[in-house]
Amino acid sequence: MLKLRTIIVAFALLSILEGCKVDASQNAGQKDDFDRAAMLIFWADEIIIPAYQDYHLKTKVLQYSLADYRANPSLSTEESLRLAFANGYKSWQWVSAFAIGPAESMSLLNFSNIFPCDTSELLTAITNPNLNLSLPSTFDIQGWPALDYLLYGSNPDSAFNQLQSDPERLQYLQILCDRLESLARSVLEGWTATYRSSFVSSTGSGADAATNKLINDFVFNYEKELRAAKIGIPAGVFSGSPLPSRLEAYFSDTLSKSLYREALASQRAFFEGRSFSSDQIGPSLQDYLDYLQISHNGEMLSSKIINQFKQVETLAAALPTSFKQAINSNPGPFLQSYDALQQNVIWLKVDMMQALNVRVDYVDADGD
Amino acid sequence: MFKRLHFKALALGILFLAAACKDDSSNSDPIDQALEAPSSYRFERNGLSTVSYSGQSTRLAMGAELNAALLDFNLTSKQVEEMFANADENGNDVDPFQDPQLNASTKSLRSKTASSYLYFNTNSGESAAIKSRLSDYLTMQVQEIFPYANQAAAEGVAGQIADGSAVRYVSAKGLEYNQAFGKGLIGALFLDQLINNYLDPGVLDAGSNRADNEAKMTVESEAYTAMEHKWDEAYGYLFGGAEDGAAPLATLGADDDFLNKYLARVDADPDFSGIAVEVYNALKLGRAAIVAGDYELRDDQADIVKEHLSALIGIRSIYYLQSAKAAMANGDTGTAFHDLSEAYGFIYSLRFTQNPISKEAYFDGDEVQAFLDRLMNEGPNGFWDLSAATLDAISSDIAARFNFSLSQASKS
Repeated sequence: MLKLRTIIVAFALLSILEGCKVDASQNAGQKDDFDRAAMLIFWADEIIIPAYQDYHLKTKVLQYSLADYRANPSLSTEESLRLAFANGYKSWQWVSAFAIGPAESMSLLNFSNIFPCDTSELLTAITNPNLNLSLPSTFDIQGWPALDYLLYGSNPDSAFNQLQSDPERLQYLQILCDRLESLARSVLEGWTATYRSSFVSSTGSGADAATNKLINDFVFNYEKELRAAKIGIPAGVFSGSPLPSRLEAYFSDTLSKSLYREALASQRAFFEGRSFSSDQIGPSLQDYLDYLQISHNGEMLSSKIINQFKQVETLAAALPTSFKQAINSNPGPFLQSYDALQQNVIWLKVDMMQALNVRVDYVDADGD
Repeated sequence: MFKRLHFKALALGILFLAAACKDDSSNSDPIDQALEAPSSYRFERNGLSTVSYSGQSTRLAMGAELNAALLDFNLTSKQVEEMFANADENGNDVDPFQDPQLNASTKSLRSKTASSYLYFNTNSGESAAIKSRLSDYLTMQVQEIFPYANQAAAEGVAGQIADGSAVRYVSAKGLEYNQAFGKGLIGALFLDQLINNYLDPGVLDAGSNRADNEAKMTVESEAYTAMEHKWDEAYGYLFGGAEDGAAPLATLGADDDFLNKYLARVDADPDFSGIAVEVYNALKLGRAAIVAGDYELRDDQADIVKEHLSALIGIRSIYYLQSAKAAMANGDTGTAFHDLSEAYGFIYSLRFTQNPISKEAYFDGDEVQAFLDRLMNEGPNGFWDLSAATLDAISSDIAARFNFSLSQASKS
């Protein structure tokens, strides 16, 4: 704990020092006339809604694959089911940051990707006829991490045998897949039916404005879901020794790396304003910073952030295929990745948010 | 507070500088005889350690088990009450703990709750009321929370509620009784014993303690004098969970969920950074002062500890009220209720603080109860009806009695 605190304090101090270096004169006096409305429209129509459409589609495919498997259990339908799981989990990485509007009110993140899965709770839940999966205490026995356990388990070779021999277990898998699909559908419908219009018309700069909230969601996702949950915690940054069981997709093993790389790609794409469904590039945080001419030690802050993303991506590509096996024996490269990720927390959370005059609306949880 | 201490340090520094400038032939300069602070909390006599606080470590461990038990929905109120008292309702020995060493112990949390020499020696009515108040939280946790653990909380309905991805279990009015208990125990037991009992001159100098200490007369079959031991018992309530008790700052914050943890939290706030070292140094130097027979120095160090640990309670009370306000503004009801529940317990603990100048609590029992009523009685459904204005008003009222500002305490 002390180490963690020391690290936090050290980073806080670092952040403050780094933050001071932003040359205030660069944007002093320049009125912020950046076209937030155009950016919000591009975000909604080219990034967020298409990403949710893809995510919902992937959960449908998951349902179909499960139906195929149940109708005809075979090596081939097992493989298809696992593939649908992997594709759905990857697609999740492209929506997880957008915890705004319907995703926020439905607690989509909490019901989709809280890991590690509490496997002993899960095994109890399977036999509970009165199980209520909308309760907060069930966050960690549903969603992708629970599927990861049911489809791979402690012994991937026998996972399907267990599903075949235990009807309740198979039924639970069905319930979880259905729930993922229905949550995805509700959020997507929430966007297209009503939320899109309130999102794009929320062009102000107050704490409740769409830009301010989504920037917070984006940075929160980068800091907590990407940096801490995917790398920092399992690599032992906060505990002093590696905790492989805290890895995302711990049971399917090699998926951890793919998910991490997907999340990195989705984060950079959002920052750069890359359309989800086409080659179009639109108004973005990068543009916003450049419009305000925010530089950092003589270089554009946006370039620094993008170069840092690229560096993290290079490090990520070089990580071993199996995080689970490598993180204990050789945590060094993971810690190196963490440090590289951390650098961008400072530039995004301190420098960028300060420059855009967006207040951080989340605090580090107390942990107790 | 910190201004004053920094001023003291500055003054000392100037003194040292002045001393350094002096003709170094003056060996009789009193500065030269000033007691040197030991590098760690390690004291020996004839090769034997004179430091002992096993009873405090035991109570910290009992507190940890009890806190955990308050979320074990299979337990009965009888079982948790027995963990509090380490006895049954008739005072008979029981074995309520997982750890057999705790079962073997005759010590208990309840008997030391609200039982300091300074505040409760001749105040048994209030002491009994506080003990039963904390017992009531245990009973209510079992009776009002456990049966509803598997339903969602709502206005006027007990149950579970999400705090981020964590789960909290709240009463129909939004209060987590286990937080009210755990944070209340920080004041009612650990702080009260530490600053109002063991660091109180009435305890340190009780009986023939001074004469015995002067004569280096140790307690029978022990290596320490009675006064040394009293001081160690104070120390143990803060550092008794540390693996290396002589140099406990290395693991500060990880050693218990009581004073140790929150001293670390406050120390991590740049506004109060250094508070942990100052408390540790004061406890070390005060202990050395006892060995050297310098009781004025001892009491000066005790005052630093009293002031800082009392401030800790005030700071965390405000910190959680303000965190709750921010969470409410974001619509994070569960997060707000968790912060409010922690605030509720810390505010309860204000009654056990001590202003070393007046030797009285910063807030008396009635004032504390008034705060708690304001938190709980703004509407029929307790926390569900709270307004941000009330949180600000209570925060200001608390800050007004301490030497720190509301804004210093609000951040972490």
